[in-house]
Amino acid sequence: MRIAFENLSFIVAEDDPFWRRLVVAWLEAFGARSVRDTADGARALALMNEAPADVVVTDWEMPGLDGIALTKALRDRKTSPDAFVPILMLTAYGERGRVMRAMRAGVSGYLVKPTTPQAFYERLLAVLADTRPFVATPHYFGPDRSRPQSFAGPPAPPPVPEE
Amino acid sequence: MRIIPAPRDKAAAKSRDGKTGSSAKSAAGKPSGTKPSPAKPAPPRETVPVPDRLRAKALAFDADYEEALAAAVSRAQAAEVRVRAQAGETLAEEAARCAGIVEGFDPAQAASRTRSLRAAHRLRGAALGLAVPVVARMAASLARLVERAGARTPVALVAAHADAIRAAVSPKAEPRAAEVVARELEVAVDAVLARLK
Repeated sequence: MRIAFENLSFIVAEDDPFWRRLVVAWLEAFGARSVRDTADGARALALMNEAPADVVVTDWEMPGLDGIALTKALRDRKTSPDAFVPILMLTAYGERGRVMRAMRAGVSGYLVKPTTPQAFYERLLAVLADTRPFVATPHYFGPDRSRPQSFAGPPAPPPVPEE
Repeated sequence: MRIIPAPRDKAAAKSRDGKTGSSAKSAAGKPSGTKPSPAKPAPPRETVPVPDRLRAKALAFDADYEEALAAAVSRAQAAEVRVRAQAGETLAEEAARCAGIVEGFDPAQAASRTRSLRAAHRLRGAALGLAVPVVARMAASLARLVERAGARTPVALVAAHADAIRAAVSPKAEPRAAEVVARELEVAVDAVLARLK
């Protein structure tokens, strides 16, 4: 099993030029079909509205719209082009309170910088293979936080149909 | 005749028996003055299945997981080497940018504090990515100072951070001296934050 990057499009929102280049380079090396990048959350939202991506990777601190505001905008079912889009937050903030805040905003996964290509790949896989349903309350729309992320290793391949 | 519903717990039972929640807590030796909050109805909650469309195209079962991971990581590591080779000037540029922003720091202005905090955070991220931990420490110390001290942030200590960051990325920088300066800045920030408590 692998991530079929050749089928996937990404938006990378990251204001730090080094990290933006690095994440784009990783995704392209993985074989991503399309990677669009931007330094701010508002532009990321505009890119999603132009053509929704399959996955959004976002930093927390960005000028204009930060990663939390971007996540909330993308999870808004009334206005978002895809409220289910997997959102991976990639940030230097590692404090528990920050992680909880990101989860409450609706991110699908969280990864602390600095990180490695392997950790990034594995976190992306966890996000893409996650089978948790979403929940909608008056103040939240996103992955069901009352359940653990369902992915705990590569899933078994689908059964081969008998002839 | 009023029908009193069966109590759902001991506190409710005591309350029904004439004791208030606070007196019940006092009797149990706990601080009084708090009233038990009435049970709030749970907010409406709808479970929404995620469309399978993405999972179907995102996962392929034509390769062994470990082999696919190793190949993808190997390509990404090669790409990372190229990015790092091109990033020689990046840290110096980021440091100069951060130092320039915090030079005009005005603690009374929320916008100035936000700009400085963001610049310090961005420099920290770049320094971590480029494996220059001493600059990351200085930037983290600056971010902590501005974030926690807010409008009472001492301008002189912010300026000291900016000078130290500039010095740490200069070609003549002495790594051990930079470590000492980073530690001094962290201690100074600790002292300021302790005074403000």
